[in-house]
Amino acid sequence: MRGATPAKLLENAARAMTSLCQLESGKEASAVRDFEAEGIDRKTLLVNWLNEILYAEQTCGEIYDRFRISEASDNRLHARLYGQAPGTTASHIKAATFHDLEVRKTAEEFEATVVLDV
Amino acid sequence: MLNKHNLVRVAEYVWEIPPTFREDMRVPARLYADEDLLDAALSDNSIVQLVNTATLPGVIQHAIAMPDIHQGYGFPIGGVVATRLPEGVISPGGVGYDINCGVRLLISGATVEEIKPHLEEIASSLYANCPSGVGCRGHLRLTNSELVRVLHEGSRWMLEKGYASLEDLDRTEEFGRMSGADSAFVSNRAHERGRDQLGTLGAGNHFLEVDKVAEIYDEAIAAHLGIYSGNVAVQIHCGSRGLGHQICEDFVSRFQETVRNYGITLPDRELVCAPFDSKEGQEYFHAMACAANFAFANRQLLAHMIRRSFEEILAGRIKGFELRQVYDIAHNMAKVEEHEIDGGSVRVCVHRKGSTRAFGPQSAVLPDDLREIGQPVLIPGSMGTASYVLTGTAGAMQQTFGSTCHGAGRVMSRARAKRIVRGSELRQQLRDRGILICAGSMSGLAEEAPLAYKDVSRVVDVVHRVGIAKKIARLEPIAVIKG
Repeated sequence: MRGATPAKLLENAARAMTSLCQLESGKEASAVRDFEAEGIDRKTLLVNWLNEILYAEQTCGEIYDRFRISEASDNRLHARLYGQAPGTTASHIKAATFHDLEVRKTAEEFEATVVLDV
Repeated sequence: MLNKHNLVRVAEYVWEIPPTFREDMRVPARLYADEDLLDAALSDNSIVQLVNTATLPGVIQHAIAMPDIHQGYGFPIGGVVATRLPEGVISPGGVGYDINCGVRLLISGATVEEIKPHLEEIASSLYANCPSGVGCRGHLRLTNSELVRVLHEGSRWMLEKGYASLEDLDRTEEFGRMSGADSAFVSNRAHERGRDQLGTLGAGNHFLEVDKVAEIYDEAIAAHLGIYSGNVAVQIHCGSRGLGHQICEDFVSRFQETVRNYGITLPDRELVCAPFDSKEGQEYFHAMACAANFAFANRQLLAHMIRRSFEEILAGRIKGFELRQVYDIAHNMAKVEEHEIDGGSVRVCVHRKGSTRAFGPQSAVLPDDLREIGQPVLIPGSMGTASYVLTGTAGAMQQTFGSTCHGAGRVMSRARAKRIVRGSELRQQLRDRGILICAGSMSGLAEEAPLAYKDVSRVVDVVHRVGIAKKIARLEPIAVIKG
């Protein structure tokens, strides 16, 4: 995943992960949730953020496809999630892991690699 | 890059990477394999992961890999790492996400010939009674206080509720209840994820299988376990579901900071750990024991539902179909055990991730009727191939902290298996071979195609030959139920 800023990287990571689960086409976004994620550093924040999304999907039966991060630092973020509820397709992703986790800054942008447990 | 030249052959099926291979290694790394299985192990990153586990604080003797080793998250799957207590560490990644994933084997007095005319009905009933698939919900809805009792008492709670017999508990590792459980250290999220998942299989490589006893290698021990050639058996393979997964996730995240606080440097962030006797280490152990108890209770409830299916379909039609429990084993767990090392008894934390406890005869932790023969060891094969019943040995106690292999071991990723195998075609191929398949997801079925796994017979032959388990019987599937 890539993003021009750390916040964009986090948004794009969420989009990349949730793109693995298809939503019903043409259905309006009916689920909107606000939440926060924390981590001791940028890498931990990324993994925790993705796992927050998976937890919300699994316990609320919702599937999200749009993410707006209103505030992000190296160890905390505030976000709003948009999606469909109740989800007719369960996510097959169990978790984001720390395995071979990479977050790096290149000359133009931020890049990350996350391995998902499926 | 690690290759064959970095390994020293110390015995016919034992390979070693000396601690001089990498300066952060504290002990040698050992792999049990024949030449072909060694090549398979070298085809992914699993041996590097094995070397990584040899760097953990307090690791003792060897970091060990079984012949079914394959790449996991941080720790390889098919590994055993023991740390000397009290200074040694406990690592959630060394247990894995599916805490107390394990296998239960039930045996019937009825033969395959007697049951075959009713097999389709039995398979349909099992599929209905034993919910499977991602996020599936069970028949029991637990209140908060009931869930807490399950976490603390495991199969003993099931006994109180009439879902288990005393014999079932006797024939379960830890007698179905892991000590040290304290639900105060299990997050609300883990409680939420577990509340309605008791008595469910889940997805992935989890399954129910109706088998026939195809071959006996040791008639006396097999008879002692109630296993006779031609009889029907049922295997259950599953674990602690979302609850165990959430506990692992919680502590892997939290221990990212813990390792910093204790000044522990690691080659992979999934190896995060804490000194066993530290506050953090103890909290993980208490939570892990809760997940272990949830998994024991889960397999117990599934066993109850399987017995109900057999009763519903076979009562009045054939005699002697009742299912008795052979044993229930865990293959993802960390345990405190005493082992003989260099002539003395040492207290260690043994991490078995994709490895089965295989305590030999005379072990004090076994029930009286198993003490003579050693602990039964259950090794499921890949879908459509054989599974094995073995027993633990004195050799396992001497070589591998009383541990052996856990299954066939993956050689192909799920994604690749899905690309090259069509689930519906695989189902037909297996049906043509006389194996009935009930599966909720054809892509899930494709992921578990036999070609994605090593040859389980080869894996079992290695552990038998090196003496870290003893072959007793071979099972072959006649029906498979999957999510």
